[in-house]
Amino acid sequence: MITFLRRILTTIPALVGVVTIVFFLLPLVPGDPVDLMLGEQASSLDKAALKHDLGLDLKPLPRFAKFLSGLARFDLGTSFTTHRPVAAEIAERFPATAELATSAMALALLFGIPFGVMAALNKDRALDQAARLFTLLGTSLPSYWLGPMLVSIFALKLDLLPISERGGIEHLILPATTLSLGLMAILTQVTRASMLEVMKEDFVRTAKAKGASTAQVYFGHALANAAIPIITVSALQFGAVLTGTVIVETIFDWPGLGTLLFQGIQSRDYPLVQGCVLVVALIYVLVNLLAELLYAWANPKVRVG
Amino acid sequence: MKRLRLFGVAVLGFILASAILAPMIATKDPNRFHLEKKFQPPSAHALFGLDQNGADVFSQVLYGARTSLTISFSVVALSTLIGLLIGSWSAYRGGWWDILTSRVLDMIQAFPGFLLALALVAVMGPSAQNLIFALCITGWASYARLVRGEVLHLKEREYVKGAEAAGASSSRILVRHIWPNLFSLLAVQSTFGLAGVILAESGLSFLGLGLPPETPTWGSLLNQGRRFLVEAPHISLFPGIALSLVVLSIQLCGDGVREWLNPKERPATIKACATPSDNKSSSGFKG
Repeated sequence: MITFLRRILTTIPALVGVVTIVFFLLPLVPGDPVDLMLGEQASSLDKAALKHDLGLDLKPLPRFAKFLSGLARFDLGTSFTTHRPVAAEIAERFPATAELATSAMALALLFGIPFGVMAALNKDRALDQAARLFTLLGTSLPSYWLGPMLVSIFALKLDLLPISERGGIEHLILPATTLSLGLMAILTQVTRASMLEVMKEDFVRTAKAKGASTAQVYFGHALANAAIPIITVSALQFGAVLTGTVIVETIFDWPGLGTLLFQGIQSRDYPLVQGCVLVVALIYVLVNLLAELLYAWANPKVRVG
Repeated sequence: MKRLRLFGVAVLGFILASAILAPMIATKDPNRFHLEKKFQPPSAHALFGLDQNGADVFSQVLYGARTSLTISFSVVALSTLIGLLIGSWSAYRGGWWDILTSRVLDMIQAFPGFLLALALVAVMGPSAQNLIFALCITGWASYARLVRGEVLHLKEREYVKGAEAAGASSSRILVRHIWPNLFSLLAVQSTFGLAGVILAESGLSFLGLGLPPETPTWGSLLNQGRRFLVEAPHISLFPGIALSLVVLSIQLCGDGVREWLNPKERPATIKACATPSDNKSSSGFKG
């Protein structure tokens, strides 16, 4: 329990880091952010109002205090384009991103792990070579090329799947596949390596010797012991999936946080950009914490140490 | 595997050479429009076809290679250098300097790298300097952490203690005794890092955030091409192939570099002697 608490406490510097970096984004805007957002011709009254709203009329330290106290009340400021609270905008878009990211994750686990196990069982045979090739391709093909290519084949040429926007499960297939390929490739590789490592152990030989079926030996005994690196890598890679949604959502017009962030960038809606970046980064930190806790739970050696 | 690596070296060499020699190979100006011939498919006249403005895709891909590779190489070189300097200095000196560095590293690495680069470029505006700055800010931390960890080990070695006893200055010890031992570590890390930076740079350009729109990069070409997937799939096909091939061949080269610099990892020799049934899995794995 104490180990778990200690791990949770170690997240605090990361949280502080994320909040501080996001706070410093606004001062990085070249020139005057208010001029950029409203245009040179805006009335000085409007400018002063926005300046006050953004806290730009304050000195850095009180501004940071204002930013923090806002965060504590889940107040991320007001969107400059829609005039709605940024937190509300984000809450509205979040389910779409969560749906896409978890489906991609599920796809990667569902295909990556069995593929890795099969590759390990058929080491150096054709299936193993195929797995290696898949790993190489999966980590080399960027989503912003793969996505449009999948669209052109499955939606435009074969007319099997819808191109974009959210809807039923058929709308999810192309974006989730695009997003999951990289992680799937990594999981295949990690599962293969971890299985090969475990299959040399004595307990696998014992299980075989006492007459357990092949499926029991490999999927029961071996995979259970090969699971730790697989869990760790999947949880750590979830961050990559999360940031990948920015690009994949843009390609498929998926109404999630990624497109919201992109809209914010294009309309120079800095409060919206700050809010989206902050929320995605916070989820990333929390998922990494979850990864560590899972790891500690799955590996008693870490829990004790 | 060995043949595949040779293939990687050959492809990478070929693309680097074409990028360097782009002005000689690409006979057409990538920004010259022939609107009447737009969407023309690949032919002997235009190897990769023409885009939505009737500009030559082959020239655009070549010039795009120049931009993308120049930026990516600069980012990796700068990040490695900054990481080496800060990481080795903080580990060697220790004390408050090391604590401060570690906290800064924690802060930067708590952030998902691509998102931080994206946020920085988005607020600072599109330009080559801003792009390089944003990618370096996110990039140097992993090198610094790696170097720091290694130097913490190295500084306890006898030859470093010996040099200290002989009165060598800190900078001399770092440069003469510690840095040479970091070479293979950094060579492997920066080779794989290059693939990541190329993908990140193209991803940002794809979103329209990297460079000003008139500069052709692989990312911006892919972004243009995806709007004409029906009329002219060739516009995004060729930059996509070029980008994927470069990333793939860099990964293959990275594996090669690692084995070449760390003979201990060569599966066929030492490991195979220890356990005959051992496998090659560890060699294809990111360290």
